[in-house]
Amino acid sequence: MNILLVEDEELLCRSLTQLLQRAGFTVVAATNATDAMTAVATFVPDILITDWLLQGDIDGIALARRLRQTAPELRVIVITGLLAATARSEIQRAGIVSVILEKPFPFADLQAAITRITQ
Amino acid sequence: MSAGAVATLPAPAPRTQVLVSRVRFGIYTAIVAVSGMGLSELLLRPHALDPLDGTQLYAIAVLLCSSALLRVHETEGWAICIGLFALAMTCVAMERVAVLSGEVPVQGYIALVMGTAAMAPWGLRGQIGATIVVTVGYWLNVRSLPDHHVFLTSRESSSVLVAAAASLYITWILDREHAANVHELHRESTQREELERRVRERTLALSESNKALSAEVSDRRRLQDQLLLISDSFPGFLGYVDGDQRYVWVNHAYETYWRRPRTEIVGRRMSELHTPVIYRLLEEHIAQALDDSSTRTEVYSVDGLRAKVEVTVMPHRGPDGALHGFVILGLDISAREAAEEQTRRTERLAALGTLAAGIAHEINNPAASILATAEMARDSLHPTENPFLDEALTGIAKEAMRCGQIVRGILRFAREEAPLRALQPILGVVERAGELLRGELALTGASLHIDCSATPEPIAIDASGILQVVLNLATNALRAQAKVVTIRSSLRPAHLALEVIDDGRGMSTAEGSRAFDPFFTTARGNGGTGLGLSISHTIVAQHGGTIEIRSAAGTGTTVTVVLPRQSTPPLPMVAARTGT
Repeated sequence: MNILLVEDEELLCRSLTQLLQRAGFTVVAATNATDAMTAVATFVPDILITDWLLQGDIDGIALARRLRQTAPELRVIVITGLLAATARSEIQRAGIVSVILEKPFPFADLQAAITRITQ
Repeated sequence: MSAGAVATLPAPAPRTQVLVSRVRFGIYTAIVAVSGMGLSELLLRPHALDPLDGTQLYAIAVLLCSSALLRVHETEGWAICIGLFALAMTCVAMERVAVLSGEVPVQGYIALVMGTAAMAPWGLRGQIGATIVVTVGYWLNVRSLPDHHVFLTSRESSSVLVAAAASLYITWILDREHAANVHELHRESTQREELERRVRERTLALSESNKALSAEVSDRRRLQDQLLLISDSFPGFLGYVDGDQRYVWVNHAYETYWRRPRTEIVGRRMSELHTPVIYRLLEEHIAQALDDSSTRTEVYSVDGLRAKVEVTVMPHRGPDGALHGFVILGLDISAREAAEEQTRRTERLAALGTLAAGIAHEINNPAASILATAEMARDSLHPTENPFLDEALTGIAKEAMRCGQIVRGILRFAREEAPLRALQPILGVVERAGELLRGELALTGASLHIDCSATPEPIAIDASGILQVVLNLATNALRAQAKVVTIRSSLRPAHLALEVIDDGRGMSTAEGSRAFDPFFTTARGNGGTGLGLSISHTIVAQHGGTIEIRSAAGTGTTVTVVLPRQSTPPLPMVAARTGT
């Protein structure tokens, strides 16, 4: 199963990539939206795991929306460090996010979420 | 009105005095005139005295008396005088007719004397004038008669003139006396009238001033009533104390505050009314206010006072600087201070919430990196390869999670939305808390008693929020070394009360006052973050409820959460960890 991981915290990005790969997923990681858009030219993800607030003009939701245009089956998990209630409702209104995870989260929570949305 | 204020009036000169005076005058005049004429007749014509002459004399005397009497009333006197004068002229005419017809003539001097008397009302001048007129008239009358008809001899004429002169003289003397009497009487009468006028004026002025005084008294009474009403509706206690520290006047709040009726306060010294502790404070306060002659306010907060009181002493001095007394004003400021403290606390929490939201992102991201990296590193190890490292990495991951929980806890302050509420019995939530606490109870050896039988009906609550509150309170109890923790619910008219009672070490007053402050904890190093009560407070407040702590060092703590049984309509759930 292909996972596209977009996270601008490099350490987190590397560690999650490692953990996901050890768990048996094929992972392509990017630290910003532009790299992620480039990556999908050669890689078709089943799941997008993205930070909500990304460096640059495009945030995680906008990125997910664009990727869904070419891959309507794409499942989206948003991970975020600041989740005010207004932000949560904004994400939910977009209607394309399957799971929201608040940082910091144990890897087991991420695994459980992936399992749930792929069943 | 005092008796001395009224002038004692002299008895008014009676009108009868004037009457008597004039009667006497008339009698004198008549007696003298008649005596003079009679004497001259006797002396000059003793042989010719006949009955007719005697009659004439009496008639003359009566007329003279009458004329004198009539001077009393001037208007009537005029009429009578004119009548007498006409009578005199009639006599002259009769005499003239008698003479011309050859009969015995009437003595002509009758007319003279009668005419003289007729002028009596005009006093001496009147009589002189009348005498002249009558004499001239008589003379002209006699002259027009034939010579042989002149009956009056020169001696007779002389006697008449003597009588008239005597009459005039006496009249003059009496008239002078009379004038003096009249003048005196007039003066007295004027004085009396003046006095009466002044009395009338003063009575009028007195009556006016009485009216003004009465109006002023009524105005003052109304003002006094208004002042009493104002002072009695004043929320603070207010009193006036004289220079001997004796209560002169107190308002209604004074009675209520010091729990004594006004009658027991007024007239008593301050030292008698107040306990020694309070009186010492008051005495010092008053002395300071009197020293610098200024209004002075102090806050009293001692045992024996029902609340924290702000007392103001205002000295009252006269224009000469002498001390009359002072005003004491007391305001219960406990409620105000509590409200201020509540505001301060809310502001502190709001500021903290804003700050927490600001730093949450900055902390959660590195915490997530630490957690994921620690897990990744641990995953790279074989568990048996290096147990110490495995434990260390597990610890790092756990602490990174705790960072996230702390930030999440703080962020609850910044939550703007009301929690999602659903109707459910409180027992379910409390039992769930009991299950979650099982491990900790086993660890501490404490027991938990749950009694929610009094509140079986459902209540609208955010179950996860209230669960967190119950968990926080019970965890606090266990950290305070409680051996028995009781969670009990009860019904109040519009509320449900949930009590968490422990027999732990309790809190001192100072600890209790800070219990709701974020990060304040008595269990530092024992797992306490100092956020449990502040988060619980926020959650309960979002339910529209209150949370109260009753505690004393060594006697355990009771925390009461009061939740309204009727709630506002539920709002969307916002705190779900996961969505679908």
